[in-house]
Amino acid sequence: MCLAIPSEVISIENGMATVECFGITRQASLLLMEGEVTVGDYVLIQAGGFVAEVVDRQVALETQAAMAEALAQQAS
Amino acid sequence: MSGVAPEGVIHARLVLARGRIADVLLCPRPLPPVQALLQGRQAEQAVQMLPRLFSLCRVAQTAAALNAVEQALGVVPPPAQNAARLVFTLAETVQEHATRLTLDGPLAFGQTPDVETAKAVRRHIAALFPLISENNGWIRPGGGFLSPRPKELADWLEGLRSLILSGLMAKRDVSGFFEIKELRDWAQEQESAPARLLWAMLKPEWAGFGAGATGQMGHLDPKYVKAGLGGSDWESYAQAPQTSSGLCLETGPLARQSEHRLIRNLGTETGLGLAARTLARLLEIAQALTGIALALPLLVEGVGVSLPEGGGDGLGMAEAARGRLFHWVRLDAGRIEEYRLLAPTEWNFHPQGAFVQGLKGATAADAEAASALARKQGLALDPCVGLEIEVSHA
Repeated sequence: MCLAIPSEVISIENGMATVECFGITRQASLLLMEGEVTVGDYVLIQAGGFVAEVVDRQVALETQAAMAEALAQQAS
Repeated sequence: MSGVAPEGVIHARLVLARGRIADVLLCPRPLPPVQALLQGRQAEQAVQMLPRLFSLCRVAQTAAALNAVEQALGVVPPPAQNAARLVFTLAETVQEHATRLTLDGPLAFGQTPDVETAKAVRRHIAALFPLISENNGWIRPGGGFLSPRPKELADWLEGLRSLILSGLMAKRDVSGFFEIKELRDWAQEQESAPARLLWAMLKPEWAGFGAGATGQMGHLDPKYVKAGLGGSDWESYAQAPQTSSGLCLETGPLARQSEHRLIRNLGTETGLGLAARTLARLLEIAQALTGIALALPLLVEGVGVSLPEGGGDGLGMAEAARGRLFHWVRLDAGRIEEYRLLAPTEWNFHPQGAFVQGLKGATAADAEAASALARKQGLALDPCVGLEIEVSHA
């Protein structure tokens, strides 16, 4: 469904970012955002596994909290 | 990746027998928790949250939500508001298709992506929004504040046309081609990433790959969709939608472009497979430019209509880059009581839908080859789907 759950960049190597969200880590390409992303940023990952946007930290944390609550509510 | 992506994935089990994919079994992904996110919120506030909740097709998602709320309240926005939503949705389609044709597609075929064109298109599309409505002011049921700047918009459109013509179409308007030979000649010159991609896909081993017997989505009775999403068994409908006569349909660029002469000719020559689905994206970019040009003169400065504090239910629809998208809402005293979505993914990845039909019978020597085919088919149909693939032997 392409939900926009912001992930935190925990490392960058060879044009790839390792990002974390809800305890899950994954790799995403920085091809579209090279030079615009640093460790600690919150990002959105687009189709194909590309980092497509840096999200304001406060907005990211609020969105993560709302998503976590909604996912838990749906699962219960 | 470790763990399961929080966005949800589709699990596909491919059954291999005698060097072919004999069967494809799909497990639907969980429905997104939009009900939990939006319930109890004022309709206007809920709609304004949507662009933050979706990472892809967020304009189309917003347009569908606005339509749904307006229908529920019995409100008709001024024509300029619909024109603005159309321009934004078409621009988003250009951006998404351009990304597929310059990045994901080439990478899937081992070709060099054209990152600069992808980035240039994204930058250009992002510059459109403030030329029509500052600070997302357009996102309001009934219509928001529009302040179009005609001169800048004309320049913006000319800039986009130039970017598409040079970066994607290698100085030829592909949508004007009539015969497949013209397309092949253009692709063979390989002067843009989409040309190189199509040249690879037009080869016999790929051109018809992924074609199936699934019908293409044309007119769909909104009353049936509304009844499906508004009914007591709506979750089953939203996870595996069919028409009222029980048909599975493909939605997306190929369905929308299925009457274009090049697509019809390609269908006759090779079947509506990988090449046709890729070509449809390129054709749709050209068509979107025309659509934007026609809609821009309809934009006038102004605001929308006021909203009643009413209730009721409504169905909203938008043509997102990846296919037709439906939002259904039930309001009570202006607040969200129920909110449901039907995404294009669920049509295309229906257990008997286009993904499955296109893979069944495909030649695959081993599990690795079968997985690679499934990923190509998934990318051609819906690039934003997370696929978990398992291969077993009959």
